[in-house]
Amino acid sequence: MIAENTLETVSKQEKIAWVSLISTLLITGYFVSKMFDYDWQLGVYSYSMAKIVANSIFLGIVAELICAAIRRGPGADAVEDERDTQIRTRATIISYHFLVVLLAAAIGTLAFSPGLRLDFVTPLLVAYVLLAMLSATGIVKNVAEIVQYRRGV
Amino acid sequence: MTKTRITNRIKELRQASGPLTQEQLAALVGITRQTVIALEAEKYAPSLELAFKIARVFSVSVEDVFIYPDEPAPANPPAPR
Repeated sequence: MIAENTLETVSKQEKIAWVSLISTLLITGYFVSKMFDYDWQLGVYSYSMAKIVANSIFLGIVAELICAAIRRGPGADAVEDERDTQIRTRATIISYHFLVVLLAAAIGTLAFSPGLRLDFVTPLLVAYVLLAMLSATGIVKNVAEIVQYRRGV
Repeated sequence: MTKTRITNRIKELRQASGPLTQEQLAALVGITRQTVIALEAEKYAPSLELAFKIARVFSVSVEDVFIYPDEPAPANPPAPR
């Protein structure tokens, strides 16, 4: 029997937040580990890069399918309500501030690091760094959502 | 986690009407069961629209379900002119 006054049961939106967090961590982990193998200088149009991107997209599609199954799955409760919207809005604000701090740190590093080798900072590397920032922001958003759900906001 | 200042009698009214389960109440007003749990724990203050919907389920007024405490009287009230 499920106790009525606990938050033990997980709502569909919280499940979706968990799936999103785990899939983002998996995709980011896979991408980063592969990029370390190629020393972060893999050409955009290379076969290896195409394989990495294809695998990442495949993982993303699997995650989306799981989320769709959760939305349509059993359970009489509504998929989303005003509290979910409020939690998502707060999480978006937190992740936005996180992204601003990351961008400021990246710009500061580029502008004020005397020892930085400019030949190392290729457009490709900048693109990868931006991608990493977006992934980190997504992770922060999912974590912020889960924390609010767990706290019972 | 801080509670909201708005207290409520949802659990009491739910148990008096049937009893109505959290899931049934959630379905009646179009919210998730977790939101009903958060409301009963007074950790979530509903929108005005949701407050009216909940009150309508129990056929009472909003003020019979939700209670907003009076502001404490100021220590030194301003002198009348």
